[in-house]
Amino acid sequence: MLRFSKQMKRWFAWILLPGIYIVVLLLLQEKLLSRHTQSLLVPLCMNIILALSLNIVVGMLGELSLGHAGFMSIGAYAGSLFSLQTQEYLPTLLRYPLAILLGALVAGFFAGVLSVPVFRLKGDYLAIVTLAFGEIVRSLIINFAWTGGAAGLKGTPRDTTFTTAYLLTVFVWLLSQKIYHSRLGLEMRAVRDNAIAAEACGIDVINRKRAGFILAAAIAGSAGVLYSHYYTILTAGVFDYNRSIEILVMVVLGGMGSMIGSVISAMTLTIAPEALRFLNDYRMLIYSLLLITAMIGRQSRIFGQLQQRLKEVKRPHGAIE
Amino acid sequence: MEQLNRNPKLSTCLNVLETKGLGIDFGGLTALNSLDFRVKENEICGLIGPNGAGKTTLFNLLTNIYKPSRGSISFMGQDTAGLIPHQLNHRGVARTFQNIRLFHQLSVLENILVAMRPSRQNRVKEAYELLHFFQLDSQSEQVAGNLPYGSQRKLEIARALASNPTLLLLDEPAAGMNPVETKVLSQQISQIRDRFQVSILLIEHDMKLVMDICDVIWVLNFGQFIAYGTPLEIAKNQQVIEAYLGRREAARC
Repeated sequence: MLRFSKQMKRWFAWILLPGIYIVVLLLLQEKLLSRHTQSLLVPLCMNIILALSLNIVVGMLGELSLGHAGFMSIGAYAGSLFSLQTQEYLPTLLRYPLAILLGALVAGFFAGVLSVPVFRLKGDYLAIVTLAFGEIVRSLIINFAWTGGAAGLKGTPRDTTFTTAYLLTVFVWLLSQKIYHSRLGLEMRAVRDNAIAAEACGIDVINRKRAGFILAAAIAGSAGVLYSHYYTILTAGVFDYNRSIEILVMVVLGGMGSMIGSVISAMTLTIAPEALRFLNDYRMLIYSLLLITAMIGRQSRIFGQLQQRLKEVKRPHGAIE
Repeated sequence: MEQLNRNPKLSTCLNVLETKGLGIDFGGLTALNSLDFRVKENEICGLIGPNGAGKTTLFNLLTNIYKPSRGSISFMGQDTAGLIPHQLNHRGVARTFQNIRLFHQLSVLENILVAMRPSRQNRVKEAYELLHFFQLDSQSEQVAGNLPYGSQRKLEIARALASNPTLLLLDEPAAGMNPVETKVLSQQISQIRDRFQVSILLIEHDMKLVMDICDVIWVLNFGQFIAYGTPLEIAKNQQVIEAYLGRREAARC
């Protein structure tokens, strides 16, 4: 039986991650990728980041958030506005990482503010409130003048390349691994499994929920900066609840709580609609059917076994410390 | 501090837990009516009573899951009003639940580790010792939800002990266990008291277990205490017999 031991995982991290990068870079250099495929590389990274970040809330905390695109847009606008202001004074090498950091911080700040009232409530309120939050953010951005309004924010420097997107993806991947095995991650998973018992065991449930929520929002914010510095034109319309649902589907399809699952399903769901382009008018129809089949299929035995193998059930105890 | 006398029947040691006039209403229904109750240091204290008497409600009040309608609770001499359940746990109250509430997707070991304070040294080693005490160390890497029922009950007690409590509340620890398992459990509960130096308050319907291990027993019926005493006294108490069997049946005994 194939088991993912700790050593194999280290292998995965140190050989596979740079390996993928080098292969893609070579393909780009040799011009072996079509323009179309090339244009998918950054969105692919972006979706992986978004799925991994939402997985913190949905998979590790067990809370339903439907406003992830809202945090992404906050990050995107914060990063873009910063870059537009400082474009003339700061070199790209300094400005771009700062923009990402700022995007993450601003999105995290908004999540922090939102989490104060939300986590006083129990149950499905988070889903409702975050859904509303995403829509409020979108309509505010459309109506403000300094965000470019409905016409959008133009002129953001095109700083995002495959390299930067890939670097951020790897960073987020390693970060979410770290979180999962950390004390915070352990406590978050305990809260997910049984909040009442967690409280009785001395875990500050509300605090842990807030921490996870803020972290996820901050990562989504950084993905937003990636987005705005790739497309250079920013309109609030793209960050509607459909986008949030899309991210949620990636997490759910990947098996909630499974990070590798999130990555694989984010990749599949980014590529699938493009790969189905040859179907023309029937594209979205077939895509929806595939999605439904996949959702049903993931409960089947074969998929379950596969997932069990990928899941880190067998884990040396030192990992938690 | 002077070593306190371990035998609670002889000692005049301090009350770990004390309630004064404690009561709670649910809507118009008085679930618990003005209870004066105490648990002494190192005591195994039984809480019995017919179904619906208010035993679990009392537990939920003691762990601040419910807010009392009247009266006060003091733990180690300090009022616990206004504390959030996790803060109460930090003060030294740990509990188990009638319907098992494990972190079922975490491993057995993780269930213990997560309940330990992060500041504690040698957590993994201590966790293994705790698991060893409950004969769960061989299953430490298993997912808790996959454990057999009896082991899940034991793990829940182990998890409660992991937070190093002064007072351990056990809500029907023997529920669903077979007689052999119950016997082992009752020995273990006595051992827990000696080894971990905790006071134990337990709700239990298994009378043999209660009579065997409890130092004192409180009997609750319709939200009020109807008796308090040593197991022997309780077994002979007319009111208790009536509460359990009904007046006519009791008269026949």
